[in-house]
Amino acid sequence: MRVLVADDDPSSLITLEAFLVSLGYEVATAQNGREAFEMLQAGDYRIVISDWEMPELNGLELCRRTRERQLGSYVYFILLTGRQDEGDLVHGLEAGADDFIRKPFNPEEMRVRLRAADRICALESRDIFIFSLAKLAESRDNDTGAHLERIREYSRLLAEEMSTLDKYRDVLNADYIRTIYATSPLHDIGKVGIPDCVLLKPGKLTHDEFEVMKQHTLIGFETLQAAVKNNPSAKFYRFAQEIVIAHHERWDGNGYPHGLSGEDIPLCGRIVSVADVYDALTTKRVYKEAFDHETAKAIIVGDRGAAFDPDVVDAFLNREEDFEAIRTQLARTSGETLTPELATV
Amino acid sequence: MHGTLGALSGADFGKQQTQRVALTSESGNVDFFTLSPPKARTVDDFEIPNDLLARCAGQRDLVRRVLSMYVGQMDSDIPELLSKIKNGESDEVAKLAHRMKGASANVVAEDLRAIAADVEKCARESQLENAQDCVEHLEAKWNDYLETTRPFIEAT
Repeated sequence: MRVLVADDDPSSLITLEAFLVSLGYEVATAQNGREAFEMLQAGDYRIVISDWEMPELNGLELCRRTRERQLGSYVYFILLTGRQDEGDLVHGLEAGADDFIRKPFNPEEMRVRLRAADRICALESRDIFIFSLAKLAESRDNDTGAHLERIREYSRLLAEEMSTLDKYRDVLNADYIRTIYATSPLHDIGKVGIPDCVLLKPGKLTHDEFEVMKQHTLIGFETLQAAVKNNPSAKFYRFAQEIVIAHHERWDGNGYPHGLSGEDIPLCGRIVSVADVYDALTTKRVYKEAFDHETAKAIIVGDRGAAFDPDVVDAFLNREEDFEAIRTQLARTSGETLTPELATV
Repeated sequence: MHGTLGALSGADFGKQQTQRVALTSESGNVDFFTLSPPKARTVDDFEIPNDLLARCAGQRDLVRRVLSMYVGQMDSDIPELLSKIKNGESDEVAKLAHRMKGASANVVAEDLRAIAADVEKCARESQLENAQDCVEHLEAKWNDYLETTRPFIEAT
């Protein structure tokens, strides 16, 4: 893993550089904040360890600029400081620092804090891998474009909105929201097991064809079962399984595959269900044209309490402007066909 | 035993291997002592601080490189510090003293670190006269430090 170290004191810089190399990291160095920022933009560094006080651009400002720019992968930022003020901790965290280490660094402390950094970076790698897997499953269907990107954004919005309700405050915490964002793209992974003649059929499915299509929820569940068995303590995979198996259940019990109803349907499934339907309605598919937002909204509201959890529909209504904004932004990014209303925006 | 010692200076030791001195006690007795000048410092006189060695992953050669860089940097920083104090540049004095403080802490030169911290504090409070006094103290300590570390740094 590549680490960038920034410090204006040469002797401290070579000390830290050599220590990191001894731990197996690939290290680059900068002697001031401006140089460090230029290197960050040009290179791929996953961890930055920066002195606070530096000429040209101090560590705090370097951290702030790093967070403001999208540099691709997440950069884990450690501020190395000899400053003693308690308020500095707050300023550093506000600027986006992930961790602090006092100078001169304690080798054992540096070692364990870097292990924490490695774990965070590995999580992001995991999320990228999972999204790539979901994209692969989706790749046979040319119509879906940025569907997965929108699904995770919509799911996140709904979860965030519902987290403000007393009923969900304890459940829909930051960890839940992060997890639904990361796992919702897997909702249709089971489609890899559905034949093209059904998956890509341009017209309405027959009863038998629909029965085949419904299997994608069970296929997806079984696909993830290996991951659950190998990682019994990984809640992440169980969460993904819940989305996969439950996102086609209906609030009134007339969904599939198990005909669950009400709050027996996992919450994550109820959330992704609305996200998925909204996206299906507002994008062109092989079997239909894209509907505009108002039409999609009317359909979803019409099924409040029937297909959909009333709380989730209410959350959707509270955030419908954000839904539209995401729809526009990601449609343009992926070059998808916009509805007439968006085409003129 | 109280008394008066024949006047000695560091310069004396520089010129003679040993010196015989008389100590007169309060009772009037005179005793003679032979004083030897301090031996020249050697590589063996410098004990690498454990913390520095740990930060250098146990590599003595790296310690030597780090100390060499530290010495080179401080040799240029101290006169610069005095110059900035003379020019009344409080902010710049504070920044430079802060860096010297950090560098000294890295090599476990605690006395130098503490003085640099004092210089930084004085500069941040715009008390440059006090900062000046601290730097003079720093120079004295710096010479002691050089004497101790130079043999180690220059050893091959």
